[in-house]
Amino acid sequence: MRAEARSGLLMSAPYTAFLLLFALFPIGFSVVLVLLKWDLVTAPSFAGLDNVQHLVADARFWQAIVNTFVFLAIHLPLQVIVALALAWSLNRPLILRSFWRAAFFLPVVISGAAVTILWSALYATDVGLINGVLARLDLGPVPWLTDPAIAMPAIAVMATWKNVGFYVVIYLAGLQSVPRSCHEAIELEGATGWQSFRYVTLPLLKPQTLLVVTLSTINGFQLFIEPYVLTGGGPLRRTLSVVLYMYRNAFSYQKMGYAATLGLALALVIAVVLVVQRRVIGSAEEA
Amino acid sequence: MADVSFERVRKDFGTTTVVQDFDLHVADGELVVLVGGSGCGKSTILRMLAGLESVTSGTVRIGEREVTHLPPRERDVAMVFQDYALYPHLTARENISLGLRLRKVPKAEIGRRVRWAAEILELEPFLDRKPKQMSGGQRQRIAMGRAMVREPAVFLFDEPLSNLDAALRGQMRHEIAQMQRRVGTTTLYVTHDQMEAMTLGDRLVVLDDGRILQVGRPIDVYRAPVTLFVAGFIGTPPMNFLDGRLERERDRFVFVSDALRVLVPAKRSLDSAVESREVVTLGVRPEHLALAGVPGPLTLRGQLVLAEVLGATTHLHVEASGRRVVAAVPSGPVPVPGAAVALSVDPRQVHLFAADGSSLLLDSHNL
Amino acid sequence: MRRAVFYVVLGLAAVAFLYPFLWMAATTFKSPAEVGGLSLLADQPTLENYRLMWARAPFGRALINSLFVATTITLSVLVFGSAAAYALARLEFPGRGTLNTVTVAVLLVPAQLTLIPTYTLIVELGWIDSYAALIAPYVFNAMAILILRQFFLQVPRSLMDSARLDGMGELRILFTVFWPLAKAPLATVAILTFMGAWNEVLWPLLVVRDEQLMTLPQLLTVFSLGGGAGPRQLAPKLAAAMVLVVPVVVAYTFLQRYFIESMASTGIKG
Repeated sequence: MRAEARSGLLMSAPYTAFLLLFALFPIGFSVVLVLLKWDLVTAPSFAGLDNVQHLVADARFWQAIVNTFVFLAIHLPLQVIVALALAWSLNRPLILRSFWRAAFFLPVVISGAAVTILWSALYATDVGLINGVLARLDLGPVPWLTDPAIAMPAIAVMATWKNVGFYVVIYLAGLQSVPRSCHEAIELEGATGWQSFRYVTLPLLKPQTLLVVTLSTINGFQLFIEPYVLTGGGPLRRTLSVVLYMYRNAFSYQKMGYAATLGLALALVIAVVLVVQRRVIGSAEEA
Repeated sequence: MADVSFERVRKDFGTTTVVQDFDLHVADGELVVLVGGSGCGKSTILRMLAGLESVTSGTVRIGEREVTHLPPRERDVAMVFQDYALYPHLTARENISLGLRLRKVPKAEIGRRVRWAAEILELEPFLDRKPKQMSGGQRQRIAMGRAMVREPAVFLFDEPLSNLDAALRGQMRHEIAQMQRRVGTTTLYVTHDQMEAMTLGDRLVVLDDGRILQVGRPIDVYRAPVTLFVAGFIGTPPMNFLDGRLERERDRFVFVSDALRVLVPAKRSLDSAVESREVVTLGVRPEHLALAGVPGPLTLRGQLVLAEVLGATTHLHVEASGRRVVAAVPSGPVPVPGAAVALSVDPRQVHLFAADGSSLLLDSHNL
Repeated sequence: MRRAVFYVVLGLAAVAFLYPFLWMAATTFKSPAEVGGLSLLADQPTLENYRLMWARAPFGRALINSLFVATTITLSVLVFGSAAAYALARLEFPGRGTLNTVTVAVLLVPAQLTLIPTYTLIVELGWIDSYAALIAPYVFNAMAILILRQFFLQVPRSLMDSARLDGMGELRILFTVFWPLAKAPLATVAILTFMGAWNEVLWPLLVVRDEQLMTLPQLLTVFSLGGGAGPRQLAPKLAAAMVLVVPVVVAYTFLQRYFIESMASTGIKG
């Protein structure tokens, strides 16, 4: 086995080196950075817990967290309901089934930057498509991206448009794994279509729903290009995301220590939120 | 509790007719078995009764009501599916009671019915388990319990035992029969297994290619099959068939083949078969063949290929003029494989079929 | 009748997903006066927007950059990743268990945690404004290695043993025996990696400032941040976006089954 061990080590050595350099080192160093003040030009200086204290008191950070929750409050239910509705509609013999599925999935493969620019045009107050359609219906133009209360919800709708196709495919696979005889059985027992959906289909889709919610939540906390291009984090910082703030601290303000602190804090917040979600929706194994 | 009737029911899938001109009346409390090979339409008929398939033409009645186009929910039938169709995320108890809860049956009543079904089917030990924690036989019983607590007008069974191993199948057959007798609900049972058909049914319906071939009590269908298909389908080991011709000797009729000559009962209908010199098929069941000491008239001559000793009975596999014939005889001294043997045929127990498969000795209007 | 309702719903949804692309394409051919109109056909179609866009920023160069970076990353992940996955799946060596655990653990860590430290690393290595910065952190991909490892575990050991008896070395076994069998997972990995690298925008925004080195989505972003949202600026921005969108849509039209199956399979199994 010595030859095998040698081959194994050789073949995995590049990967190991990569992990050390680009995975383990950054994770470890991020903790170190939290304790430093560094602008990448001059030498780093030890700052103790200054970064952490600043974070706790930083109104912008907390605003970004609140913004993300506003985003999730709209995005998550929208995502689940629309994905489920479309998947359920597709789960029957239809003509052009692959066409519908491909149509919904298209925005998923398009780059986020392109989608964001497209929606900047759709949401544009004066020449945007949406306000153009509303004008045809004699409804006033809506300041989608310039009204502080509407901007983040508008981004949430855009994010749904971009990603829901992915979850349609996931839910469709889940729906198809429910045995047809289960639906027939409950129909014979007297259930209406809605009851069949509520008591059999929905509980059996718990693993998929958990996946949708988890991935969409992570996606929500990682928002960057959308606020960056559409609103720059405004208006009134109501679309500021943590990642955007972190980027600014590193790239514009050159505060590496604080930026790393933001990154660490974000990771912790995500972890907590995911744990809570898992508890609430229930373990996937129960299904 | 109700009777069931099908009147001229027909089912087409596109241009293919799957069920033709199906007429059947099932009396209240009767257990009727629909039996046939795969693709014969038996499951489709069951599903049309349940409302899970549409009826192309014809009428289906349950009791006084015509249900032909009613949705499944309103027909008051319960079904045990081949894959049991248990809800994976619910316990056995919840599986059984879900239908009742949906119909807003009072809790006390639900409890009473669940206890009643559990007692009959011996479900107590695993009522709180989920389907994946149960064996096939247990799941089957839960599926039955679910059907029972509905107290429907009709029970439907769609090949419920096909997914069980042989030993379990035997046991479950008895349980199903006992349950049905105790509860007394009209039952339609679909299977491809002729043994289930023989042991379970008050009456059998033998189907092939969407048509009824014969309806009757198991013993009657066994003793007097009206077509070649029915004769060969019912009974294990299957009936032996020999091809030959009919000849007339004065006022007697004789079946002639190179392995066997035997007198057959006289009937006017045989005249045309003799005249047309068509090939007819003689059928004789294994238990009606015996080892003859001496070859003579009425014996089948051949060579012993294999003797299977099953215990009290031995199956002799004999090769006669190119055909394999099986005789079921009481165990005793047997010749060695390769030896020439003579089997005697009981002439009162032979069946005769024309070239088109119809019985030459029986009217198909019987039964 | 009920069937018709489904088709209407699906039709409306499909319109909602597809129409914006059509409108975007149409708008890029409109002159400033017509921008914002709902019609898909311009009264006076013009290529001015494309000319402007192409002149103002090096989109051709950015396209080449993106192609180069994405292709290099994908090839690296496929080749080197297979080697690592093969070793992890099929070879016994010290530290294998740890390596497996770390691979899975790494997937649980959000990218934002490692973003800044990795950035500082790149700065200290002097790799700012270089292809190395764009490629190095993506040379391996834990998800890809997991997918390939999962697949390699299912290849019967007997195939490997008989190849060894024939005298083949491990690398040869990997590429001549395992690879032909692994067409499906390799395709999945290729699509996922390429699309991921092609669409990545935050990382390039951090490590590349030179316009000549920017990737296509990055240049698009930078380009669209300049100027306002008026009609005069909107159409060229959309034209720039078209450069990014059209190749993907074309590829997608022919390969949509592969796109959907690859991207969704990770979710379905996960």
